[in-house]
Amino acid sequence: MSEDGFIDVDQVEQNVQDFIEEHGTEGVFVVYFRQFIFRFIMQELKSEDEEIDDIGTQLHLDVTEGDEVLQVKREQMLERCEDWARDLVDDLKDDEVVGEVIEFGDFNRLDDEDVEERVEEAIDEKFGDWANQLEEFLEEVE
Amino acid sequence: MGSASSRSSGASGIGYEDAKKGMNQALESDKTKTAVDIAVTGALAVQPNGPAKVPAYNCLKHTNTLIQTTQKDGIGKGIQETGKNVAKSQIAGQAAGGVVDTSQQAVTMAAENDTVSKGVEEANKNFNAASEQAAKDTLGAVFSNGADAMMSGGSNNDE
Repeated sequence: MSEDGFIDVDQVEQNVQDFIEEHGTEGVFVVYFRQFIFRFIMQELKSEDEEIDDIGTQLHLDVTEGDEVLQVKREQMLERCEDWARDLVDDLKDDEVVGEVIEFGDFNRLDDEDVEERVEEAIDEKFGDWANQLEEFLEEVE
Repeated sequence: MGSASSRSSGASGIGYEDAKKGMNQALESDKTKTAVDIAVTGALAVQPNGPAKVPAYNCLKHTNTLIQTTQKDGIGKGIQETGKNVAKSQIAGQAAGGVVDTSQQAVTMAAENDTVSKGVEEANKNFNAASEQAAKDTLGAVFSNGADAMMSGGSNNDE
């Protein structure tokens, strides 16, 4: 991107090239699910807060700017979201069909109903595993 | 906006409201990673199975299509392939945010078409906004940061 904010298309295309070379389709899945988890949490924090000065609301309302403390917290949250996203994508890779799509980057196969069903089933299964871990994390704040 | 849960967390009887309380307590105690862990296991993971996953999948699919096609044939083709008729010359004149917006609109439009064709547009909407925002965030991160869009390569148990 240029300094005046206007985009350098060549730079965007180079950045996309660099990302795919380094991280492949797996990387797209991990970054997407990282942001999905992060945005879901922000949505939940907003729905919880009654007081405007609550830290959850601050984190929600001021995602791109804000003071250094909140910025650091958001970075920490994103890093942790990436850990969870990677855990999910590792499971998707274990599925014979979905794993092949991720490994070979054949994105047209994501249109196949059987691939979609298997991804959604794998997510449901993973969510079930995750839900069983809540108690141990709650103990950390008691 | 709250989220209805169809599952409890294991056999413990601990519920969604406990998770939301714990999440905020953790944030206030500077236990940011724990807050995320509670949110993931107690709020995200207990969302109902089934149709709620459709918008999440569709946004992932079209975000991936846009990025992969851009890698092979350039951003103009990437946006077109995903569902919006935009010439590369039009993109070149836009501010950076505009290109991400245009790309995200193509993804959202394509994803909504898929969702409607499946007849689940009235299904649980808790994931709709998060899916669309995740698509935009992913495109913005990859377009602007390249390989650095990935933060780390850590596992889930590395705390």
